[in-house]
Amino acid sequence: MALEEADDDRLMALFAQGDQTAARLLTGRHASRVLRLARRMLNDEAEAEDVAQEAMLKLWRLAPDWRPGETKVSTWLHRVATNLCYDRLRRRREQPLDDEAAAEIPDPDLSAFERIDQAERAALTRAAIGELPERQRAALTLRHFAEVGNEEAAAALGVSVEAMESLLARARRGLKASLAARLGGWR
Amino acid sequence: MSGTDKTLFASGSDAALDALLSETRKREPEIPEALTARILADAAQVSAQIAATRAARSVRMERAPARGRAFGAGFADWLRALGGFPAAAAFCAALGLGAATGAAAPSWTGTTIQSDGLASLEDGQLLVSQTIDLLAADDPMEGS
Repeated sequence: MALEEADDDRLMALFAQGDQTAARLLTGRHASRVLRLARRMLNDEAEAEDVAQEAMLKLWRLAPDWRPGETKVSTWLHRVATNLCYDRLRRRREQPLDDEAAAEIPDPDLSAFERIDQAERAALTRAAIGELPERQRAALTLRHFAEVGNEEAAAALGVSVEAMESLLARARRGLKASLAARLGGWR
Repeated sequence: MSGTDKTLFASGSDAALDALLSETRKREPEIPEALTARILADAAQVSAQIAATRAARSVRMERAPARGRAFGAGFADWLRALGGFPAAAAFCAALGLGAATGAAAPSWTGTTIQSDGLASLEDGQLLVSQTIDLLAADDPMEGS
């Protein structure tokens, strides 16, 4: 079987034996989704990259003790990345935003839907996501940016599927309200 | 999201929110090559550490039986110097260690103690060696 077709458990075992191709394949499969998750959780590219790197580093270190079938690599990574984001958000709350960071948050009154392009809408949407409560943001980000199913997102957050769905529903309601204020025209 | 999408957006529906989220996700930049390089550099470093830990563990496992044999031989010499197991038991009892050592000696290896204690010495040596092997194998510091 070609290495590209090997499942994640097999790649973890191969990496633990020193196979760097397995590391490349695991990185290709998971790092970009972990990065997207961290970006939307933190709204800071440099911090998001640090989180993605740290989550992957923890995965490499775990490889010799990885137990196949116990959990999915993606679930494990999303859980670790989410917790790393929570840690950083907690630290951030202890420090006031500096001028540069504050300047990156778009003014909600600047643009009506008709006057802005896709890039601006995306920026406003990202800003609105950034204002959601942390757990709601994590739920929405896992589903819509890391593109994992409810079950896996629930496992990554350490909650039941029902709790995950509740968080997601609240996140979507909050996001709609926030976007209505930012973009105009949204009822 | 333009043209008819504008109508969708104005509806405030779930589909509109999904479309907006999808549009936002698609605009996410790809993972930077520099980050991929950093991640793979970490992987190479961890891989080297894992290999080094395995090599060190393998060397320890090879040496452990030898250490056990050396310890067992020293223990046997000590017992012989005392005059065999019965004398060692008496010596231990004199030191107040009877319950812990001398008295427990007959059942220690599960074999019959012979008068000169040699059979027990060999068993004891083997047991000590096996114990050290087990301790080496279960060393909690391994892999740290």
